Parts: sequence; C-alpha cells; structure tokens
Amino acid sequence: MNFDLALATAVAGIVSGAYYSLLGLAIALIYRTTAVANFAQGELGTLSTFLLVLYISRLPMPPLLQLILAIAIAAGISSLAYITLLRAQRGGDALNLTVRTLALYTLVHSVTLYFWGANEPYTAKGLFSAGNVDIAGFKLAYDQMGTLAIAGSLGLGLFILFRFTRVGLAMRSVAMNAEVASLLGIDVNRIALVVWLIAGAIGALVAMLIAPVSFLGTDLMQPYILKAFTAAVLGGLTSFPGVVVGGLLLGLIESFGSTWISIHLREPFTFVILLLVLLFRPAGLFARDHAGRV
Amino acid sequence: MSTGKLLAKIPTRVRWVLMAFGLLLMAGMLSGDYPRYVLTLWMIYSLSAIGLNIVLGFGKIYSLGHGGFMLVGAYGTAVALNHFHWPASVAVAAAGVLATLVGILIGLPAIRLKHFSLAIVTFAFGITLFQLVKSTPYTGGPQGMFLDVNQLQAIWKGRLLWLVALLLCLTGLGISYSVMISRTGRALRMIAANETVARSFGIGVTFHKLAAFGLAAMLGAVSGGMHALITGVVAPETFSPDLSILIFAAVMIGGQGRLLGPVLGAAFVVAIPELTQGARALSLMIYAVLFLTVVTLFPKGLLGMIEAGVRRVAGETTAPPKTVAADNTREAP
Repeated sequence: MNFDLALATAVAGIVSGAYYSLLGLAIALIYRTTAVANFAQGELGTLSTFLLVLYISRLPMPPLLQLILAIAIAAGISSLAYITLLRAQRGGDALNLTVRTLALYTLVHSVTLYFWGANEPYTAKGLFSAGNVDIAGFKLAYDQMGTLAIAGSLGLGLFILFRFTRVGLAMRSVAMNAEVASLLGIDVNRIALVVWLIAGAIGALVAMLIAPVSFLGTDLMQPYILKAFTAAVLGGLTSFPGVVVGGLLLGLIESFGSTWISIHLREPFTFVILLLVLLFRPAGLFARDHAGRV
Repeated sequence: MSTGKLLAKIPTRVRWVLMAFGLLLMAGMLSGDYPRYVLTLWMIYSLSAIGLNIVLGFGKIYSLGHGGFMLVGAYGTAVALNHFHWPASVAVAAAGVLATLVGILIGLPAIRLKHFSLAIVTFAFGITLFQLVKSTPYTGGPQGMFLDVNQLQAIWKGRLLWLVALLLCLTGLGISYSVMISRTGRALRMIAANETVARSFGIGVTFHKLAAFGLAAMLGAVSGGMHALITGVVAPETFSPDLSILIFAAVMIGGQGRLLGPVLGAAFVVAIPELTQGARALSLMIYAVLFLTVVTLFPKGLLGMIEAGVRRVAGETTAPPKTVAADNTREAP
C-alpha cells in the first residue's frame, strides 16, 4: 500500500467517521436524556432529504434557505414524535419505549417507500461543486472538504452549546441524572424536547450530506444508522467526546479494513472490532465502569 | 391413574390453550391450501417469537439479533439438505443444535453487556451473518439456495408440514411454560429485576443468561429450518436485519414476558400484511400505523389490551345480576 492510497483511505475513513460521529452524538444525546434508543433517527433524515430534493429545491428561494427549511421540518417531525409517542403515553418501560421508535422507523420507512420507492434511486444534487483541490500532489474532493468543514463546525457548535450555554448545562445535567436535575429546577420535559429537536436536525443534515455522494434511495441511511449506534457504544454512551472519537475510529477501521481485506467483509470486520472492544471495555472506550448499585 | 384424574391435574389455563390448539389444528386441516400456508407461517413465526420471549420477556435481556438464529436454522437446514443430502427432519434438528451453540457463543458478551450495548451487539451479529451468507458462494450468495422439498410440501397437500409446525409451536410453548414456572424462570425474572441482587442471592447469572440464549437460539433455528422447508427457498433477504426487528416487534406487540404473548404478536405480524394485501403499496403503512398504535397505547401488548378489555366488561356486567339472583333464591321457597 503506497502512501497516496493510504492517505486517500484515511480521508475517506475520516469523512464517513464524521457521519458516524454526528449521528452517534444525536443518538447518545437522546439516549442519555430520555433513555430511548432512537431507531427512527436515520429514517427521518431520509424523509427530509427526499422532501428537499424533490419538492423544497423547486421552491423559489436561495439554496441555503431551502436546506434550512428541510432541516427545520426534520427537527419538527422529530420533536413531534417525541411529544406524541413518548411523552403523551408514559406507561411503558425502556424496552417498550425503544420498540415505539422501531415502530416509528417502520412507519417513516413505509411512507418513503410508498411515495418514492417505485422510482428510486434518485440522484441528489451535491451541496458543493464538483472538483478537487491539489494539496502537495494529493487530491482532495470539494465535497469531502465541505463535509468535513460542516461536520467540524457542527461538532464545534455542539461543544460550545454543551460547554458554555445554560441550555447545554441543563442538557448535561439531565443526561447525568434526570431526577436530580428536575429537583434542581430544570424543566426536564423542555430539555428533552430540545434534545429531540437537535437530534432531528443533525440526522437530517447528515442525510443531506450523504445523499449526493451515494444514490438517494429509501434505504439511504440504513447502513449509517447502525454504524452510528456502534460508534455510540464504542465511545461509551456517557461521554460525548467519546462518541466522536468512537465514530472517527470506526470510520478509519472500516475504511482500511475494506481496502486491505475485502469490501464484502467490511460489516463482519466492524462487528469483530466492536466485540473485541466491548469484551475488554464493556462500558466503551471512554467511559468509566460503574459498580452495580442495588 | 385414570385419564380423568390426569386431566384434572392439568391447570385450567393450560387446558384452554390445548383446546384452542385443537380447534386450530382442525381449522388448518380443513382449510384451503393457501390459508393453511399462512397458518403454518404463523406457527413458525410464533415458535421463533416464543424463543425470543424467553430471553427478552423473562430475562429482559436485549436481544435484537434473533433473525440471525433463524438464519442459522434455515441455512443450516439448506446446507444439510443440498450439500450433505441429509433427511429433512435430521437437517432441521442439526441446525437447531448448531444454533444452540451459536446462541451460547453470542450469549457470552451478554454476560458483560447491558441494555443498549447488548442490543447493538446482537443486532450487529444478525447483520454480520446476513452479509456472510450473502457473500459466500457455498450458501448461494445473493440468490440463496433452492431446496428440493416439493415432495415433502405435497404430502397431504401441506397438511404434514402444518401438523409439524403446530406441534413444534406447542412444544415451544411447553418449553416456555416450564421455564416460566421453574427455578430457571424465577432466576431469569430476578436477573431482570436486579442483577446484583440476583447474584447476591446465589443465582448463577452467567449460567442462566447463557441457557436462555441457547434455548432462544434453538427455538429460533428450528423455526428458521421449518421456514426453509415450507417456502422451499433460503434467500439472504428473508433473513435480513428486518426479520430480527419483526420478531422483536412480535414479542413486544403480543405482550412480553407472557406465555401466549408471542403467539398473539406473531399472528399480528403475519396476518396484518396478509389481510392488507389488497391495499398493495399501502399495506406496509397500515401495518406500521397499527404497530405504532398498539405499542404506544398498550405497553403490555395485545394480551394486556385483551385482559383490560375483559376486566372492564366483566366488572361492569356481572356484578349486579349476582345480587338479583341471590334475592330471587331467598324469595323462592
């Protein structure tokens, strides 16, 4: 393996790692604040991407506004789902809440399949123009650079939100212990709503980044959502930076794995890595083990 | 001991279940070929869901890769039939044994992992198997394998396979029932409630979790093997991760941790798509809406819904007539 190929593989790995990290962050956020594994995360992104590509992009407004409108719709659906499916009917345990998101996944998937399944795959226009930049002989595509820039700034934005704002502080405290947070006067319901809103927006943005580089089909996000879950588990759900590192690590491992071994064995290879990590660090790479409490 | 005494020893609820299955058996024998096929499919999915219920319902162990065990069963059966030329019954049994071992193996991480992490690991396990059989020429690659089981399917126009599926489902229920009322079931429920407490009571957490996984895998694999026999084809897409989600949904829709919950849930996931076939593309959406409604409004599943309904009807209508009857008898002499 020569140096150029290694570098290209690394860049590809980091780009897909960025997708996994962002989606993983959304999943970890929801899991930490509302104790639900949101399986519908990816499908909501697919739905909003379809809306953007087929309808919103035809509206007479600047592309950036179209993008923001589509993301807002996804965020709206996500928070609506939280209100109607989870908050309105509290009777179930964690298992029941999780299966509700699975049902939502099925519903959203069936909707995309009904409207756009017959003519898929569509091609989505890229957010960035085609072309490469030459950096000392190494070619970097515009969309890769753009993706990394957007992912990076989004990650930075989230970091600032968590670290320096009151809402972010409230989110972290709800994630740590919702009961104590509510005793301290934090409106846990409102925070949960904000979290679902943010997660919906992240999912939509990631889907819109992915759609131009792959084909836009009804199963656009299915491979990514599982990797995002894996990234979240790898990093340890308790630590948000851990999830980002987990995602990037996963992207790199996968990228090099499929170049070195075989593209068909990418999934099994990822699974072996996941198993090995969890075998030695059951709580993830970056989480401290908690002793069982009675 | 006479048969009457023996019958009296069987709990009433079990008698009702046996009676219901007797009626079902007749219905399947007398019905047309296609309804019988659907009923057989229901029994097969029930068996798989009964297996998952042991892990998920009793032990609250998040297993999201149950379709993987069905895959092992189906492909094990197919390989044994096509490559080794074993008889069908031996093939299914061997696949069951193989899957039990796989189940114990995949149960190993379950000892250390919980909730979310375990769900992801088991889900990834299902996907990995799916990708493996899809990319291996030995198992037919993306097309899968065709089985030469026309003769077997034609015996009594499918009534033999219907009987076998029904008996296997009943056996699965028997296993589930004996787990439920035995030490193992109590241990699993305790582990579900609090693992640390269970450990401190001297319950072998490792042993029970592995046993539950092995048992679930075995039932899932036998179900997968039967699926291969009645459809005559084993394709990767049948055993995609969606199947794991489907069986998971069946357990949750029917009522987790309950004996008959999985059977009801399997009826739901088999019947709704069949009944809405006329709606074509809308079929999946109708299924999804019903699925979402049931799990959101009735966290205890269909079984909980039915019980709540029965209690409401019973509570409102039976109480007043009783006093009237009592008054009548007093006045009669």
